[in-house]
Amino acid sequence: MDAQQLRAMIRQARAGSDEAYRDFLTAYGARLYGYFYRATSSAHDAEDLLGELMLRLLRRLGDYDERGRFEPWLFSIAANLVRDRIRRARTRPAPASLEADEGRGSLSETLGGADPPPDAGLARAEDRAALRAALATLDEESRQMVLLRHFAEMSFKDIADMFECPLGTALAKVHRALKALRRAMEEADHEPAE
Amino acid sequence: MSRPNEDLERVARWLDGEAIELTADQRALADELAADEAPVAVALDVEVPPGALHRVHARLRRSRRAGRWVRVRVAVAAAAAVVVGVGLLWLAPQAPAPAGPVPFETYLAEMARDPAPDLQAEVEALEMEIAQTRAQVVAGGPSEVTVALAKLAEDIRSCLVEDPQDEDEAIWRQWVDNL
Repeated sequence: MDAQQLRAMIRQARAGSDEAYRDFLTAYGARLYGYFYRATSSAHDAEDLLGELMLRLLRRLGDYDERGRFEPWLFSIAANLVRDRIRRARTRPAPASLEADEGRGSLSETLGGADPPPDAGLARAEDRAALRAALATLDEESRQMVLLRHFAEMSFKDIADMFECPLGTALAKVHRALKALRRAMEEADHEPAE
Repeated sequence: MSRPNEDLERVARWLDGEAIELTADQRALADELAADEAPVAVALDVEVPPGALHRVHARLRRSRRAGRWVRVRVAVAAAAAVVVGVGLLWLAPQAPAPAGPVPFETYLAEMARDPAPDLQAEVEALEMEIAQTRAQVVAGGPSEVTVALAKLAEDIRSCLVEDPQDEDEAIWRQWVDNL
């Protein structure tokens, strides 16, 4: 979506157009869903968080400064939602485990990873499991950096600004995390399939 | 292996699209990062389950409708409050218009006025009372206060000394006689 289309969509959404919000979902829904899914490892949480994000967008779109860049702004809201959700799941683990019993997947198992994932790019279940497990071993900041770099297509400068760290630190953390993820996937590939 | 922070910054800027020259070492780091990123990026991609975006949109629409209803209710309540307020104002008796500021001359005259004529009657009544009290003291007779106190003391004494049982019996006898 080019800048002009985006501006038009934002204006229509501010004016209350339902179509504009549908367009937002069409344009960003898949990436946001992917980000939420990878951040929580739960399809249920991902859909719920996407819904929350759209509601938040409804309330906060009026505050958006059109001179800024939309995607980093949008994904910073998404990152805050994920942070809140993870914090809540850690302080209230019991309801999360109930959800897991219903087979919907949840944040508590998330970071250990058991939700059947809707992955498209991986051929083997072992790879999916390895990626999820490797993501779970990363510290929260590194995981968020990798996910934002991929799904929000954030530059290192955007990441450094968001996490309030030097540019070099952002690059080092992303590099280290990517290496760990790649190694985990390669190890899974070398293991004999059951 | 840790690298100088300057190298990391330059590589980050280069990967962000800035047109800068990298050393061979820095370029190697950039290539390494890109090589790590590519397979992970493919693996991270997620397919959105069918119907998920539709459900999210439906939830948004429901929320917007609910929000509209709340706004309508608030607007109706506010309009009703305005109508009631205007009605009450219309029905309320008209208060007299404020007098406005007192002219300075009137204020000055009021402040300069002698208050003595208003107090004269009270002063005369007090003087008469004092004169009567003084005459009684000179005559040597008991004052009104002394008489009143003596009567009160007598009443209290009779209350304490009288036997209420005798009085009850007298009343009982009188009632029997009447029968």
